[in-house]
Amino acid sequence: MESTEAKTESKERSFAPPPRDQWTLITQGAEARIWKVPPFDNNDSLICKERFPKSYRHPDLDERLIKSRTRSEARVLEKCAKKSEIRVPKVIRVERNILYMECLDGPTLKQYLRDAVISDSTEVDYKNLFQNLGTLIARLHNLGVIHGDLTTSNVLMEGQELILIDFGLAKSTSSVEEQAVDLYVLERALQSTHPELPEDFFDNVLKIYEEVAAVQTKKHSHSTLQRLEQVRLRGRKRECFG
Amino acid sequence: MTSFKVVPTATDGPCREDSIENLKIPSAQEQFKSNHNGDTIVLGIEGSANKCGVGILKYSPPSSAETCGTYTILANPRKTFIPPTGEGFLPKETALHHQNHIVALVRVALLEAFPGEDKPESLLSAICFTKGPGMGAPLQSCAVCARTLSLLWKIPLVGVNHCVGHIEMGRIATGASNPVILYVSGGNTQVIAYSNQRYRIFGETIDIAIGNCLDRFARVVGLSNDPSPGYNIEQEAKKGSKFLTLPYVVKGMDVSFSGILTKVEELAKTERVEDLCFSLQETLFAMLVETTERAMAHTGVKQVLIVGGVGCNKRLQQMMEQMVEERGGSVCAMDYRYCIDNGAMICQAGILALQFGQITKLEDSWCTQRYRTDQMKTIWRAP
Repeated sequence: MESTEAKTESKERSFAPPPRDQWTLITQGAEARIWKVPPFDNNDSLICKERFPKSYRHPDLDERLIKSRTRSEARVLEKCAKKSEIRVPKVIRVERNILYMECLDGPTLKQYLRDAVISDSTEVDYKNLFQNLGTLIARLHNLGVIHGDLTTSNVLMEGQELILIDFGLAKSTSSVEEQAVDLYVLERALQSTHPELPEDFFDNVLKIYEEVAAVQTKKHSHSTLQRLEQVRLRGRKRECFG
Repeated sequence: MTSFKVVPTATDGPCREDSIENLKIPSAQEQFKSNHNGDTIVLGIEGSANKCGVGILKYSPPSSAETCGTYTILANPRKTFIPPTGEGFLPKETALHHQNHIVALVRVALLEAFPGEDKPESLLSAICFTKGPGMGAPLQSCAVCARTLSLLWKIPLVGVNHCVGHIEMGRIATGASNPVILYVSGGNTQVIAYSNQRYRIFGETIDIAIGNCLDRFARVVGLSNDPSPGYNIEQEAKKGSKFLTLPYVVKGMDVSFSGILTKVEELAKTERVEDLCFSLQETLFAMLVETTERAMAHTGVKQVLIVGGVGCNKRLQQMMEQMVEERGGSVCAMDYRYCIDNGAMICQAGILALQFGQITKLEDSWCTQRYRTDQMKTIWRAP
């Protein structure tokens, strides 16, 4: 026990981010704050996702949830990072309630599409976009990961390349149902947030998705799309509960 | 009959219609007759679970341009079927209980609402009844009564979704026009937010309802069903202190309770009842509060309304208040009018449907065990 403590402490010394007052709060969600940490030691700027305690929860439960969610998020991110074709933020360090990640610049897909609507000068390459989006999700699902919250706020644009962020609701699974729900969440997000997209945009995303996912297992991707039909009908939810 | 003593069940004053920001009530409906003074009065019958209730509710239109219309409960008697310790309420016995009490409840409601009136039924504009969801046999028993009264008194029927009944009574009683709703009862666990004339289900249980989980646990450890298993668990939990690790299952917006029940049943062999009750409540309620917070963050709504029987639990209210306070919002106070099943809440949803021209034909007056909250179109709210 003593030796592990010593180990963590020595690690602690090698990782010394600048004091808190130099961090910038980017956003606060229901369970975490996202900070930007200025460059230090050999690091560039970092993103820090800090889960904060919830006073309504029993302290033991609170501790357990914060720890396990931070760890599981890090694990999924690392799993994705092993595959070079899926761009996600690199995990730099995991602490009890904190995830330090590589800081990626670039607008969110949501911001990018909104800006394009406002300024006439930006011409969005929709073909390229649905190609990249469909490919990205198919690769993620092929890897056995679902994102859990596929919205345009959770996709960053680096040039034309897409980066997935916020894996707070992600998990490792190859279940057809969960993959279909993942796609459905994206469909709903596109409909509600981006009425400016061409009508067949999501259909094209699905076409690419099926093509790329089929490289792995044709039968599986086909059943995911079939399941999506069912999920659409019931609006994600089951028929009823008496 | 005249010497019958009526115990008052309608103790709340009128509720103003302007606080909930519904659409303006259309004038002159063909489907029903109001009374000569402009009042509309309906009778509502509820019996989807172990409670059988009859409510009578009056709508008084504004008397001048400056005043506002009001809804007033005139009577709201109820009978509850309480099974012996170690048993749940079974459909057959519960239906029999409702059949035995429904006529007396209708009579006592009419007596309280219209004392000294010879033909009280002549003052009613419609009979509202619970169409579902709930247990089949008890629902049928009450629907038979509703159809009979409708034919006997020649007034229309209005079928009501039980969950919408809870919500509409909650809105009018608290004056919260557009809250996020946590609906927690023996048969339902849903986080609901309004959008475009439907109460949309944001998150819900993917297996058993929270009340069902509590009831079944109470049976395992031998807690009484009187006054309710949930109440007795709450009292035991106050004495507990040791927090036992139970599964915590939140999937996005949805929750799951069946694994917790299995685990807690297993622990019941070795742990103290009060610690089990304490840990069970802490875990279950934390899941509910977390999903409610997600719905608030998603919709930007600051107000929370808890409806359904489990909403009476003080610890759940306290946890919800802590969460909502941190977000700068508020929780509507608990009230028996919308937390516990009763006839008046069926009246409230029913009278709104009636006023906007939605009535149920006799041939469509069937009941269903499966009837989702988002299946009833709320034509009285702004799209």
